[in-house]
Amino acid sequence: MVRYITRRVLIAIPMLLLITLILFYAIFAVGDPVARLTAGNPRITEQDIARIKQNFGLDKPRPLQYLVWLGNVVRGDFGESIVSREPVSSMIGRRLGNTLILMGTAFVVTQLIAIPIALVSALRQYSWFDYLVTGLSFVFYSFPVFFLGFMLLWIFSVKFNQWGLPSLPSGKMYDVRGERNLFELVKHLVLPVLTLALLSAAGYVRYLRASVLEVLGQDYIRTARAKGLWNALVIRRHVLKNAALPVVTIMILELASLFSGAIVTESIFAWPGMGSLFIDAMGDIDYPVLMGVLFIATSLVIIFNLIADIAYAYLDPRISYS
Amino acid sequence: MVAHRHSKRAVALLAILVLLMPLLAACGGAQAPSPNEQDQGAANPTQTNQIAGQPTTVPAGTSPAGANAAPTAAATQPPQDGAGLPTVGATTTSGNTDAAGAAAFATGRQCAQTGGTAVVGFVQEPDVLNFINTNMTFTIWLLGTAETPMIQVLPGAKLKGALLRDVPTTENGGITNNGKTYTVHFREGIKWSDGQPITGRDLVFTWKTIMNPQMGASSQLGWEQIKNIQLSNNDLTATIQVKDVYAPFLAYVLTSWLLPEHHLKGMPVQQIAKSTYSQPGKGGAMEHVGSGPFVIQSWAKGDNITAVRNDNYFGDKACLDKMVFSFLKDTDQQTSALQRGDIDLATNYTEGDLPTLQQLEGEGIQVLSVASPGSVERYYFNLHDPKDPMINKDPKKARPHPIFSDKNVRMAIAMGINRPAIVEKVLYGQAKVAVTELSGQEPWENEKLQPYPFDPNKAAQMLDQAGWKVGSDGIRAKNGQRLSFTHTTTTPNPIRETIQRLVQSDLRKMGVEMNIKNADPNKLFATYAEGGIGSRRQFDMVGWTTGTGVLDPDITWEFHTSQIPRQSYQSGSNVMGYSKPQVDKLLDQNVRQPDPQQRKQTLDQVQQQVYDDVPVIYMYVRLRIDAAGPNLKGLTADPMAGLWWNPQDWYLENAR
Amino acid sequence: MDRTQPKSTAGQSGATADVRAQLQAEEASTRETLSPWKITRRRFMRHRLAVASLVFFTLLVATVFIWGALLPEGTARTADYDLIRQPPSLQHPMGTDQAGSDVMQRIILGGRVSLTVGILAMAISILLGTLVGAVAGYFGGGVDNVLMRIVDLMLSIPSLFLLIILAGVIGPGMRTIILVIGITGWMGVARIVRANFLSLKNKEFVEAARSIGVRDFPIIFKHILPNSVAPIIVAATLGVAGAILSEAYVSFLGFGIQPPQPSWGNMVSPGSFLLTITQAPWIILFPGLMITITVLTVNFIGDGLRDALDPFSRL
Repeated sequence: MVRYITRRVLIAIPMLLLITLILFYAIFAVGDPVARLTAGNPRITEQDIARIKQNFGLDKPRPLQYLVWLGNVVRGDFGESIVSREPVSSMIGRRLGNTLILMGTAFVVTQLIAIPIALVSALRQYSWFDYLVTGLSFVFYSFPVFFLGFMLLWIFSVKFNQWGLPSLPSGKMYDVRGERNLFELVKHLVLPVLTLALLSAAGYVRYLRASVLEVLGQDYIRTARAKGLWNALVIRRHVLKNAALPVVTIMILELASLFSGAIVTESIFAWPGMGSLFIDAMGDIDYPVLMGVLFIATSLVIIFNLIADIAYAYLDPRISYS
Repeated sequence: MVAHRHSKRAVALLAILVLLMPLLAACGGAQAPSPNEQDQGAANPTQTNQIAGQPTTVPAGTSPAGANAAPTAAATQPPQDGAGLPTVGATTTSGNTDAAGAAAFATGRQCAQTGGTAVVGFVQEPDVLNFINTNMTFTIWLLGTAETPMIQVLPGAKLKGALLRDVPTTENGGITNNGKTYTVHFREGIKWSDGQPITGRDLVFTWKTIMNPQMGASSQLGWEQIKNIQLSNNDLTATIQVKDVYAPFLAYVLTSWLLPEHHLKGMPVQQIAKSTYSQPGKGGAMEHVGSGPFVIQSWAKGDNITAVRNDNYFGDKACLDKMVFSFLKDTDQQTSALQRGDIDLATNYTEGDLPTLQQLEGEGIQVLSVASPGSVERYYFNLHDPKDPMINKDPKKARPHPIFSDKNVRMAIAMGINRPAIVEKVLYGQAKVAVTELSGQEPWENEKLQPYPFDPNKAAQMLDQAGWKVGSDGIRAKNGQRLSFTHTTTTPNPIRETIQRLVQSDLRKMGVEMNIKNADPNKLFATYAEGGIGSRRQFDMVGWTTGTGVLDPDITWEFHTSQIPRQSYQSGSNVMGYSKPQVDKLLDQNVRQPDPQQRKQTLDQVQQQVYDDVPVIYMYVRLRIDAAGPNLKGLTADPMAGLWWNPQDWYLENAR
Repeated sequence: MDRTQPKSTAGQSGATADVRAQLQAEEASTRETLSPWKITRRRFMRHRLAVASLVFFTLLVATVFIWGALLPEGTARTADYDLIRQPPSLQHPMGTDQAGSDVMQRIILGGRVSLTVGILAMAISILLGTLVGAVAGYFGGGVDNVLMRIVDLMLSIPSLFLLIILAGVIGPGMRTIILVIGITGWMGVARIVRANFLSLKNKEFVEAARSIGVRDFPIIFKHILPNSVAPIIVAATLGVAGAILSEAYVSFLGFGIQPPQPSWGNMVSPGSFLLTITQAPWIILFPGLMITITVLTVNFIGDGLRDALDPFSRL
C-alpha cells in the first residue's frame, strides 16, 4: 500500500511538470499580456512597450521564462500579478479558502439532499415519489448551470426584493454595509450553493439510487431479510455499506468537478474565489496568476484522485495493489 | 482500473512526450477633483470665476486628470478600448489672483447633509493605487477621490489651478521663452493627507520617478519633454525647462497628480508599486498619502477599498464620512445591488444597458449619462492589402487595398451606413453621430463639417460609377473582385455586435457584403511582436473606440505617416496606413504651436482633409453611463470633467 | 458539472428500473424467438420517456436542419432598426432581439450550430476515445501506460479551465469550438473502452482469431470492438448532451462561438443577463429553454439506450 502510494505520487510529479509546461505555452498563445497596457492607448511609444516588457521579464525567450517561473515555484514563489503586482501566492491564499467554503458547503448539501432522496426513492421504487425524483433529477441535470443560477438570482434576490418579500443577497460573501458574521455568510451562501448542489445532486441521486437498487437485489440482502433481520438494520448494515463503495469514488471525483462548476457559479454570484480569479486573469492574460490558479487546481484534482483510489482500497479489500 | 501497473518505462515514455511538447507549443488621468464653488452639492459648476478670477476663454490643452480616462483594459467591459489620456481642450479660468493659499481654494460651501457611507460598485478591482503604474479606468476614478491635480478640469472644460495657484499662460507670465519655459506656483500651506506640505519638491520627485525605467510607468508621455526643473528657495515656485516647444505639455504634465516625496523618497522605485502606498499591507491597511478630499484607508483585496474623509484636505471638506468601493463581478451584479440598495452608485454601464436603466428610473434610480468626448467609436479602413507582406515591411510600397483604395467606395460605404438610426434606435438617442476625430471636443472640433449623410441611393450610384456592378449573387463586383470584406471588432461586446449586424444588413442592401470576424482584445490589441491584428494591420475594416481623451487635441499618432505601424516602427496607431504629406506637415505644426488660435486653424485643416479622404468612418461619440441610487446626491456628470471631479460635494440623504 | 464525460457505465441510472423488471418478465417468455437487436429495440421501446424524447429529438433535428436550410440566404444577417426588441407576436412568435432579428429564426439557425457542435464534438470524442481506449486496452504494457497517463493528465486539469484555455488558444469559431470540445471530452470514453478491451482481449474468441493468424488491428476492430459497442453508444448519446452544455458554458464565459453567428449558447448570454431579462425576457428565455429541453431529451435517450443495451444493467 505504501509502495503504491509512493509510486502514484512519483508519477504525479512529472505529470504536473508536463501540465505546467503545456499550459505555460498555451497561455501565451491565448494573447499578449502587454495588450492590456497598450490597448487603445494611441500614444504608447515603442520605448514604453520595451520598458514594460523588460519590467515583467517578457523580453526573455519563452523557454527561459518558463524555467524562471518553474525555479521560483520550486522555491514556493508563484511570482506576482502583472496587473496588480501582488504576489500570486497571497492572491490565491485569499481566495482558495473562499472557493473551498463554497465547494465544501455545496458538497455537504449535495450529500444531504441526495442520500436520503436516493434511499427513499430506491426503497419505494415505482412510487410517485420515485417518479418525481427521477424526473426532477433529469431536469436539473439538463440545466445549464448559469441559466439556473441567474434564474435563482433573478427570482429570489431581485424579484423578491421588488415584491417586498424577504430576499436573499445577490452576491459576494458579505454585504458591504452589513455585519461580517456566520449568519451573513450563510445567507450569502444560499443561492450559489443551491445552484451547485441542485445540479450536482441531480446527477448523483441517479447513481446512488441505482447503486442501492443493485445491492437490494443481491442474494445476501435477501438472506439477511430471510433471517428475519429488522428492515432498518438491513439497510444500515448491508445496503448502505455496499452501495457506498462505487459512490465514494464518484463522490470524491465530484469534488474535483465542483471546481469547474465553481468557475461559472462564482462568476454569477461575485463570489471572490479561484474561479472568478481565473476568469479575471484570463481577461488580462495575467500569466503568473493563471499559472498559479491552474497549478493549484490541478494539484488538488490529482490529490483528490489519489484519495479516491486509496479510499476505494480501504473499502474494498478485494482490490490489490501489486 | 484502480490497480494500474506502472512500469518504470512509463517515466521514460513521459520524457519522450516532453520532447514532443514544442509541437504543441507551436499551436499554439482622470480625476478632476474640484472645487465647486457652489453652496450645495454640485449645483452650478460653471461659476468658477468667483474664485479663480476672470475665466478667460483660451483654448489650451488641459488636464490629465481629466475626465475621460481611458484606456480601459482591453479585456473587460470596455466602453472605451482606450482613449489615451483624458481630457479637455479648454477654457482656463486662469488669470491672476487668488490669494495663493489653501483657504482660497476652499469655497466654504455647506453640505446639505454630512456624514454617512456611500458605496460605489466597480465591476473591476483596481490594479495598483498609484497613478504612474496604472492604466485602468477604475483605478483612475478611485484615485480621483484621493488626489488633487496641479491643474484641474471643471465642467464646461474650464481649467483651474488646484495644487497650483493658477494656470500658466503667456499673459500671466507662466509660459515664457516661446513656450520652452513654464513657471508654476504651488499654493502656500496646502498639505498631504499626513499633514506634510505639498511643494515643488513633489513635482521634481514625480518627474524623476516617472522617468526612472525601473518604475515601469505606463506612459512617460509629456514628462520626457522636461529638460530640468528649478525650484525657488521656498520650493513653491518651479521653473520647468522643456526640450522643445511642445503644445500638449500643459495638458499632459501640468494636470497630473503628484507623488508625495517625503513619503516615498527612501524607497527603491521598483518597491513603490508594491509598498503600502499602492497595495494593502497586513490586514488590508493602506498608507496612501494623498491630497484629495478622501484618504484611502484600507483595501480588502477581492472585496472593497475604503476611503475616509481627509481632514487635511485644503478644499471644502467632504460631506460623506466614507466611500466604499465594492467590487462586483459584472453589470448584472451591480444592477441587482443597486436595485436592492446595497450600493449607491453603479459605474461603467455601456450604451446597450440604456433601455433597462431607463426602466429603472421609475424606481428612483438616477441615470447619469453624458457624452464622452475624445472617445469616439470608429471603423477604420485598411488602405493597403493585408495579404501583401510588404504591408509590414514597408507600407509605402505595399499593394493598395483591392476595395478600399478607392475613395469613392469608402465614401459610398460611409453613406450606406444608417448612423442616424443607430444612434436613435440602438443608443436611444443619447449619443451623437461623430464627424471627426475631435467630435464633441470644444473648441477643437471643426464645426463646419457635417456627418456624411445617410443616402443609400446616392451611395449605390457612386458604386455604379466606380465600376462596381451588382452580380448574380446580389453582391457587387469589379474585374472579378467581389465587393466583400471582413469587419473585425472586439469580442465579446454585445453592443458592438448588435451594431455590426445592423451595418451588415444596411450594406447588404446596396450589394456590399460585410463578413464579421471578431477577435479577443488581447489578440486585436496585442503588440506588433506578438502579432497584434491591429498593429500588423491584418484586417479589412476594424472597429474600436479610441481618441485623444479630453486632454489635448494632439492627433499626430492617428494620421501621421510616421505613425503607420510597421517592422521598423511597431507602436504606431495609424492602422489605416493613411499618408498625406500635407497632413503630416499640419500635424507637426500642431504640436509646435503654443498659440491656441493657431492650433485651432491647423486642426481644422487636418479634420477637413481627413473628412474629404474618408480613411475612417466615425460612428458615434461614446457615452459614459453611471447610475446612482435614490439617496446619493450632488453628482454632476459633465462631458469634459466626467463624474469624479467633485466627490467632496456628494452627500447622502437619509445618511446611513 | 463535468458532464462532458459519462462517469461510468457501471453506475446505471436505474431511472427506469421499473421498466426493466417488467421486461425481464416478458423476455423470459419470449427470449428464444428474438435476435439481440430486437430485444434491444423492444427494451428501448419500453422506456416511454426515451421513446418520446427520441421522437422529439428527431423532429427537432429535422426542423432545425430542414427549416434552417429553407430559410432564405442571409437570414442570419437580417437586422432591422424598426423591430428592435419587439415582444412575441404573430409575425414573430418568439419576439425579436436587440438588432431586430426574429428570435425564432435565430433559434433555428443557432440550433444548427449548437446541434452540429454537439454531434460533431461528440463524434471526435468518441473516435479519439475509442481509438485510445482500444489500443491501450488491447496492447497493454508501455503503450497502455503512456496512453493512460495522457488520459490522467487531461483529466487532472479541471475541464472548464482546459476548455477556456484551449478555446482562447485556437480562437473563436464553430470549427474550433467543435475541436476544443471534442479534444477535451474523450477521456471518459477511452477509459470505458479500455476497461472493456481488458476484459475481452483474453476471451476465447479472441484467442481463436489470434491462433489462426489474424493480425492485431483486425482483431481490435472486427472482433473486439463490436462487442464494446453498447457502452460506446450510450457514452456517445450522453456526450451530445455534454457537448451542447459545454458550448453554452464557453459562450457564457465569452470564449465560445461569437455573435453575430447565433448559437444557443451565445443567445442565452447577451452580455447582461439581468438587464436583458428585465427588459426583454424572450431574448433569453427561449434559447435557454431550447438548451434545457434538448439536453433533457438527449439524456433520456441515453438512459433508454443504456437500459436497452447494457447487459450488465439487468438487475
